[in-house]
Amino acid sequence: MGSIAAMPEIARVTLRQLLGRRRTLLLVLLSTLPVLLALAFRVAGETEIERFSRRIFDTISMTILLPLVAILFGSGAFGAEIDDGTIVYLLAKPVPRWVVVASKALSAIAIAILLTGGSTALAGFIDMVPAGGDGVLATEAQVLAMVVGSACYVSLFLALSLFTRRALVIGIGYMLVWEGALSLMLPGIANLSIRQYSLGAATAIYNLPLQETRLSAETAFLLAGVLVVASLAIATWRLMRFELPGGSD
Amino acid sequence: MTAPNPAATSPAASSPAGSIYDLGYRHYEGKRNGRAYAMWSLFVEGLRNVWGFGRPMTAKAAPFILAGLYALPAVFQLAFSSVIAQRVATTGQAANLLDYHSYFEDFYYLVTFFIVAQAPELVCRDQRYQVLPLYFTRSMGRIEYALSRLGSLATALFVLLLVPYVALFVGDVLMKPDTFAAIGDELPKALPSIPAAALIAVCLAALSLAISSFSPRRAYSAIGIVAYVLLMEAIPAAIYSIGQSGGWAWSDKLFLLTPITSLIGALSWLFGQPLDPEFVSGSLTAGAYLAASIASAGVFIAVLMYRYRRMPA
Repeated sequence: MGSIAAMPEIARVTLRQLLGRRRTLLLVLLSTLPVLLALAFRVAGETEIERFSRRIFDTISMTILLPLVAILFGSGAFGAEIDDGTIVYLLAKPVPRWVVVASKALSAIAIAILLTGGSTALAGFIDMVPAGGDGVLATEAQVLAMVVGSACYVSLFLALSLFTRRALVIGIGYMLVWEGALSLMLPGIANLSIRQYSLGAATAIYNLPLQETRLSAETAFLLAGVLVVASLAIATWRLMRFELPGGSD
Repeated sequence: MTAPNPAATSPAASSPAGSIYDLGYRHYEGKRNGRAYAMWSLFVEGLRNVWGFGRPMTAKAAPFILAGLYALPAVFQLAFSSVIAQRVATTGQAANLLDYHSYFEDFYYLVTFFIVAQAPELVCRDQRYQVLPLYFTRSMGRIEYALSRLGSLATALFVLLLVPYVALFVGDVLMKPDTFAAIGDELPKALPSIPAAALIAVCLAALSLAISSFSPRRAYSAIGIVAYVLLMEAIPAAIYSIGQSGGWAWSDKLFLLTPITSLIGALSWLFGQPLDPEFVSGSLTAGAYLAASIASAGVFIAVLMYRYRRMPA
């Protein structure tokens, strides 16, 4: 059990790598945007659950904020170490690789949830809670969607970043092309879309008035769980065979 | 013994640059090609870099796959042009074809992805590995460096955007029975695609380079570009939607700040088409979007130059 003792330290180092001064400021700004828009909605007297869910939660928090933040943290958790070459020191320690992967994933997921979930909760609090009990449930459902989404995106792109240096760009491509364009054209993609897992999971608490939720809560939780476990397992497997990158970039 | 070696001193004494540190090495006496040539060299190097020439296959994958995907629908239509023409002739109904004016509107996300993937390649590496001082101590100045990089990306984008237009043109001409008459018919419709491609290329190149010049890490530059493009599309739409019920008459003016929607509006002006209500809402005219696109290109070029003028090298 001595190896688990390394987890807090690895997590601390990961957090420090992911949260530089200027970029944290930018990410915080990004996640305050839904809150600011929610304030604007409130000022205009729009506190309906439906309008808020469509205009702010769906188009900004779910489509832009969540993927950007989670892909950045997911691919950066190992990406920054590989780029800087400090992964050598990490791998040289007598710590099982699964512990390394688990602590990196946990800390990246935690800050992704903090930013996206926090922003969603605050925005929902401003706009939907005044609508009554349904508003509270809707806010909780949206925060749950962010939690599930953060876990999925971070695990998937953390695993991918151990295979290619361009995991982040691939992640952005996934977000723009797969989730953005193809899922509108091909509804069957729902089973392979993190966005749908998150929205599906949210229905466990409240049926958000969005037209395109396609998965039931059970399916969504199951698929999301499979994705997270499989990604982290693959990441561990890959890290056990990790070859230090050569000079060619 | 004190007589100096004439070969070592005479060129040094005449040239002002070498008089202090002249160690007696042989001097360069060839032609000096000057600033314009240095810019040209950097432009060519940048253009090759965007497409991954001179670099490993992995660097070529992203640009070529994206450019291929962007051109694919048009090339497909070209390949099947005779089949389409036959069907139109037999059934008598006009085929539902891709059109010049709506092509970018249909597939803009691939172009966006292209700038996200390739703009950081051009400017981030030089900052990260601190080679900028090596450029700036030569005849290449900071502004020249920024302009060369902008030229490279804009040219690469121009090629990417023009290929499907050319494929559409050839396909449409081949569909008609009389080739020469068809060229005459099609050319006026197709020609605006050249200024259209140029406008999109300059706007998106300026935007993406200006943003990516702020971070030496490619990852953060890429995130910055995506965040900017997506948010500047989503925020005006959200505010407009409240503004409509709240009676804020100014709220549709915010669409002028959108990067992609403005370009789509500007293309309507260039192609002489009405604005597509599916994409563009509000009371703004196509001409206003054109002005907004040009203005945004100007602003981003200014930001890029400002950034390079201030960059610690």
